[in-house]
Amino acid sequence: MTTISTTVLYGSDLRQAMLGAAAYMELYRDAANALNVFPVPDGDTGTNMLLTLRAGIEQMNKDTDKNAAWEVAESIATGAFWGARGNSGVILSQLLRGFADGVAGSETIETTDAVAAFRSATDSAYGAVSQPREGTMLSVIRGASDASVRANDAGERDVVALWQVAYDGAIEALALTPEQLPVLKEAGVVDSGGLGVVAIIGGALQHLQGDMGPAHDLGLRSMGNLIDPTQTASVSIDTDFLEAHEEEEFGYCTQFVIHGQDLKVDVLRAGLDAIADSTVIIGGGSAVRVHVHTEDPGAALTFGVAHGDIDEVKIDNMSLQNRDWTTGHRERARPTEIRPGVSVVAVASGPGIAALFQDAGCAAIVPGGQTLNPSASEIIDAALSVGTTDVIVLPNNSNVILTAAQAADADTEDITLHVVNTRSMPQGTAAMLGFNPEVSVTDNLNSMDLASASIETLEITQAVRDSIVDGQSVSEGQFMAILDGKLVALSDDPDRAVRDGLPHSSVGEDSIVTLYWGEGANEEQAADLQEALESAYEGAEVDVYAGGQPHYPYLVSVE
Amino acid sequence: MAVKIVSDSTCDISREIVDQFGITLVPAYVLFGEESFRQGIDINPTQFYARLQSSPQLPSTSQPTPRDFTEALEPLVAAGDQVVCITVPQQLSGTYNSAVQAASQFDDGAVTVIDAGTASVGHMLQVIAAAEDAAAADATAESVAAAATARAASSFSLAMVDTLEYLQKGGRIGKAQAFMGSILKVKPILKVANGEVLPVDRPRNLRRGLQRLEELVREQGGSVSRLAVAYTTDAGPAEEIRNRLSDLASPENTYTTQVGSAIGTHVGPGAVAVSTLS
Repeated sequence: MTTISTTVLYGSDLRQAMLGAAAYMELYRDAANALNVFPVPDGDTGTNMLLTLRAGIEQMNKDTDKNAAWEVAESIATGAFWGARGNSGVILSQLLRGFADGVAGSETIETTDAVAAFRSATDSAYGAVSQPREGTMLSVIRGASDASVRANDAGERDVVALWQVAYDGAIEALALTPEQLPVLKEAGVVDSGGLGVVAIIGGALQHLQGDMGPAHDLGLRSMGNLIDPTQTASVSIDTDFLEAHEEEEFGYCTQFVIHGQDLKVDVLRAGLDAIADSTVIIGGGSAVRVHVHTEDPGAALTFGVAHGDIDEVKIDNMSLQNRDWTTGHRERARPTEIRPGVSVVAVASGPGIAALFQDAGCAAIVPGGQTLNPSASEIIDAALSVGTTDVIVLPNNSNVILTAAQAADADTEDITLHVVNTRSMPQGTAAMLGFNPEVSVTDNLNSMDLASASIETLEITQAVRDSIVDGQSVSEGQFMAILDGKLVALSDDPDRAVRDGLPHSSVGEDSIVTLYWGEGANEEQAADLQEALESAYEGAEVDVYAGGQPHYPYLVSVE
Repeated sequence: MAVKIVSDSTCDISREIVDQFGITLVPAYVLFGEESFRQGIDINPTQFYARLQSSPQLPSTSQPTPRDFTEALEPLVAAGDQVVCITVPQQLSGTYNSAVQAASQFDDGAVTVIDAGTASVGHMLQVIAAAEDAAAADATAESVAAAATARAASSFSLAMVDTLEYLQKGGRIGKAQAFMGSILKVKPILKVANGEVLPVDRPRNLRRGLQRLEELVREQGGSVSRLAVAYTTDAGPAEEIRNRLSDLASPENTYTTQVGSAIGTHVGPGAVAVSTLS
């Protein structure tokens, strides 16, 4: 496409490349979301990667005076670090961190720098997970890196051409993922995070090649059914978002979730733009998350209520916050006095569940967990708000564990964050009951870890699409009973799914079975189910609580 | 001249042991509105819990007055005896102060007041051990007091309650406030040692709680010579704990008692407690 040879990239090129990456990530977001093998409405990979990228862009746009290539890369990595959401977002943020480290100190990027950056990005991404697996976004970035090395060794000096080779390498690696990971093969898809990496490298390439128009198909459909073409739609880069975030912040940062039916992002955005700025809307369908900056949060909430039920409302007065970013970390609103001690911060969704955590002595709740994964920054903000020297974070979702670990790695000065790797909300509750503010943080980590490991979690949710999981074909709309991450029963009825799923656990006459009912179930139904379980497992204690959690009619723990 | 042991009635010691060793008990008060009762004299545990569960208002407790102690001490001192008085912790009650004030009216060394550091069963075991020491032929007030002081420093009571509400309302909850949660039906386990009420664990039900109490007692380690269990309204769980730990102490050194009105006001029905002494 380009005939002029480009031997160096400047910081400004990198800025453009990043905008391209975000535009194409947005284009492929739904496709990446749909590729999640487990058809649960949880932790959307595409959305998490897009939001993490946007956090990088937000920081890049703030740092208007940092224009050397390494400085731009550094800003992006910093923003992405704090804004990382979900496991895929954390890995992406580490990839971007590695990229920045690979060009550290370079005013401009030549092919050798680009190779170093891809290589460092690969190492850093692999380092983000404790047990790296091939057939994931890790192997895709390595595909890009390996290809760039070969091109450089072969004498390629055009950095855009080299980027093209890296992109081709990424696509090749993506196409290989079903061969590397049996679950992908079984489901007949490529890896979702890998698709995200391809979209990001490809989007950056489009802009580096001077193609700044609306994002278009990257030609990935050549992979046939591995990427569902109905899931991609042509969108233009969300310039509103980018420009809005360059402006000085004022008024109230207002965030909430709308639960409703057929929620249209376009319609909602148009409506909110009239009353607020910096509108960001994620999701669609039955739930959207709204993030706006406005001088009248009431108007935004009223707008939300007109479109459905609102939840997880969070309003921050931005003029009261010093939101400047300094040398790699943010000045946050924090208590004036930090006292020696230990407290707990939990990620939780559902009013009943949040109340339960608070009642049991949890100092702060980070809203989200299911579908809407919190960012590292949100976890840190909550941890810093509680005012003790040690804070234990309960991620309560397997897709939040890496984010929590990232938060714990961040420089939070005199406050130390610790993580108990709770993979489900009931595990979190068990850990919470193992918490004792009167003993040391080490003792707490031990007892909370032990407590959370002592229970089994059965989660009931509706399949969001047809899929094949562990050899079983799952139809969209069926209720899946998932025991500690493994599909154990399927039913058209959520109560039946609980009853069919429980025998796969260790439930017995000495067990305590705790049932948290959420959206899709009701109190009466839960009481009937309790009765049925009490007679099925004589001697077992069956407790019922109103959790109010989204997407999961029932969360059940067996201990 | 002999060494005599005095305690306040909150140690929940049985009448038989009191009589056996010639221990003097100074009763604490429990008040239902305007009505005042002396523990073990005007109201027994059965009457107390019946009233606790039917009364529209919660009772309150009041420590023995200095005069109450003076009246208990006078005949002992007059008979030429030396007295060691072991009371409920001063952080939890004004009883210790009343006893100290009463003791100051007598000659130096006539009455030694010791803070038990713990309450109920833990307090009871200390009183029994001190009474045995005092009964020895070569006992002196100094030796009995020194041994009692040493025991008080390492003594504990573990209690599992149905609810923390009674401790909360009686203002004795201390650091166990952290376990105040009420949505999840847990059975908080608390430890009373060195005068403090400390949160220990939150088992999900009675069965798990009894198992946990057993573990916690065994974790204390050391050679155990005495074991005591107590209950407020239901003897069953206390008996179970006693059976679970029956290997720790001989039957004659194992005691089961019912918690009286003073501690009962603060822990409520359904509570169980356990303690050991090495």
